[in-house]
Amino acid sequence: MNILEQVQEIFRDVFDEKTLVITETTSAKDIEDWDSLTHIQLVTKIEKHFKIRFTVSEVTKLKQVGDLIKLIESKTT
Amino acid sequence: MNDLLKQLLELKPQNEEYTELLKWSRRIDKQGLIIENGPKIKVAVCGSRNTQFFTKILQVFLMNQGFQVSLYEGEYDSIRYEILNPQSDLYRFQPEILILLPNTSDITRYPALLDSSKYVDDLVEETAAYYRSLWDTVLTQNPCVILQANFVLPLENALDQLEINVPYSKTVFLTKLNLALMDKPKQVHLIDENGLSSEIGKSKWFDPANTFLNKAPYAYEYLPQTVWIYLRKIMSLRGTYRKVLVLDLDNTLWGGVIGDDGVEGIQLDPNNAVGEAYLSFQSSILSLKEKGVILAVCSKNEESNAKLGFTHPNMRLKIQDIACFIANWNDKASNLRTIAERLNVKTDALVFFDDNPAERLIVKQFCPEVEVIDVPEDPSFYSSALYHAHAFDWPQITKEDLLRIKAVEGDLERENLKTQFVDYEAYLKSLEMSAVAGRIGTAQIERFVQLTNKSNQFNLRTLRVSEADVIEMMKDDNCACISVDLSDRFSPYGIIACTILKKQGSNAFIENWVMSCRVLNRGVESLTLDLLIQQTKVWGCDRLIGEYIPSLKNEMVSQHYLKMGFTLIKENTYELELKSTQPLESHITLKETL
Repeated sequence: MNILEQVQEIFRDVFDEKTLVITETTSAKDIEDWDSLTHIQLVTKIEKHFKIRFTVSEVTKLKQVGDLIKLIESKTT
Repeated sequence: MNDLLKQLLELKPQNEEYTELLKWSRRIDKQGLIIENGPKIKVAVCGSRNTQFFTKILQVFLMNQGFQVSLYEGEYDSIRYEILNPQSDLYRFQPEILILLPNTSDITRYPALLDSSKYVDDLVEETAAYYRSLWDTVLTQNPCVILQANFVLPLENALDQLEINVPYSKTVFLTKLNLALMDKPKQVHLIDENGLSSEIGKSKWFDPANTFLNKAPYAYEYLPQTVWIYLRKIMSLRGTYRKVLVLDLDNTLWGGVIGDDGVEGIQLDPNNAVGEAYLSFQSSILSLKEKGVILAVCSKNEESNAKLGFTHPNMRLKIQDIACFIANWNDKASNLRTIAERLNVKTDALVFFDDNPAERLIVKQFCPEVEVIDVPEDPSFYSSALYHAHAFDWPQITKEDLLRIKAVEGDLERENLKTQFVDYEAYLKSLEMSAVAGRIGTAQIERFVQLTNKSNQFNLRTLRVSEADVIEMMKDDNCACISVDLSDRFSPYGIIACTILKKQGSNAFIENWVMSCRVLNRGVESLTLDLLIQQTKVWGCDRLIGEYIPSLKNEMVSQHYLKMGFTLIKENTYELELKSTQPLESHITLKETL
């Protein structure tokens, strides 16, 4: 699974929607439940899954899935 | 029942990740899940830290216990506002439980460097007084139970090692403040978050990123464990807690197998690391027994062999410490049922400790209501496994808990005595029973609440009360809370019967009547009724009305009022005309009236 697919699994889990499909341009306005609370859960799950830690500034700047993928790539390679 | 609801009830939330519990919270909201016939509970949460996730997870925990939950969450940093404003939403909500989650950041005044010990103590007192005044305000406005977190001592401190060497450090100040908060009304219970943070490890507990991002001072990862303490407190205050520790013998209390190795062969050598581990586990068990936990043995052994183990000179547990001893070759699930029956408790009061995973599995499967401890392979970790399960997290320790141990031991002597008499009345007389009874005072409140909430079988209306409720009832002239404190020649029992009587015009209504099953058929029933009659006369009422509300567990008392001479007036409702009553006789001497 590539990073996007792995992230998609996490999104599906957090939003409890087995068929959810995300792309690099998906952002909070595309997913009804993506609010500040679910955002924290996404971050926790992603940090745990990829064994990385985002800085406070990174967390606050994350706007769409593409940003997330880029960050994960930079931290895992 | 809805599948999702069923899954929710089977969940073990304390073992789930916080993200999973939040998912559950969203499912509950989206599907409008509700446990329609569950007992109702109203809880409010106010904090000076982020309480959103805490509250959501609390809802999952409470629903998991079968409650019909209604929750109120105060705004961020709202403790002072909600409490001091009599028109606040908090009071409109009328919680029965209020959870207060302060934060060390609330404390704006710390001692200055070089301040004297005296000055530090004054400041501690001033700060504690602020919280006491908040509690008093709540308890006047809205009588309820308050659960308040203590202050979590920070890990990083400017004074470093000096922190514990000088009186003016933050560490000393906060430690003293936590202690000062112990001076509190009965309705307030402190929750040891500081202790939890140590159990988890403070360097893991504190999460600076979470502090700045979410105004939550600790890592969300530990929310399930945190909420679990509050849940345990709520459950135990409602009378749901475990009372009996059931122990296996071979490789649990000693190393080796008594049947094969004999007394000389089992490992209990204080000079051997393994032997020492078993002995230390026995000491932990004894300290639980001291606080009132009842001990039982359930072992696959010949009974004579099993008991032989207790003759080992190094055994710290003695055979007299065991209130119920079962050694046979039956399966342990049925043996646990026998133990519960003999000790007069429900199987959900049992905690099972056995080194054999196969036995644990059987019990988990056939008695899911029993708490089964996950016993580690190494006996060195037995004590910590037992403590970390928090199976005996009791809301209070009453005199009765300690007396119960003596009474259980006295049971054997009483049984022996019974066989000497053919006539039951003569036996009762020989017990030389005496009682202190009447309307309760402050000293009896704690036990009154405990017995009322934990009695399931001898309980006429299964009414549950909080300390706040009882304090309110004691102030009410049209209400009487009556208790009976019993002793016999073998042991004191403490308070074993409680009733609430309410004046309703020319009737006195028995709001509730509970009794400990340990003293069934000893005459306490008649003595209690006599007290109810006297109170009814004091009020100038003509009749006593009693009601029986059937529950899953109180079949035992379905005919209680008929037996006591009441007449049925409509389904489950009975009356007793005072003018037609005869003085009731019992073999209990009333020593003193409260």
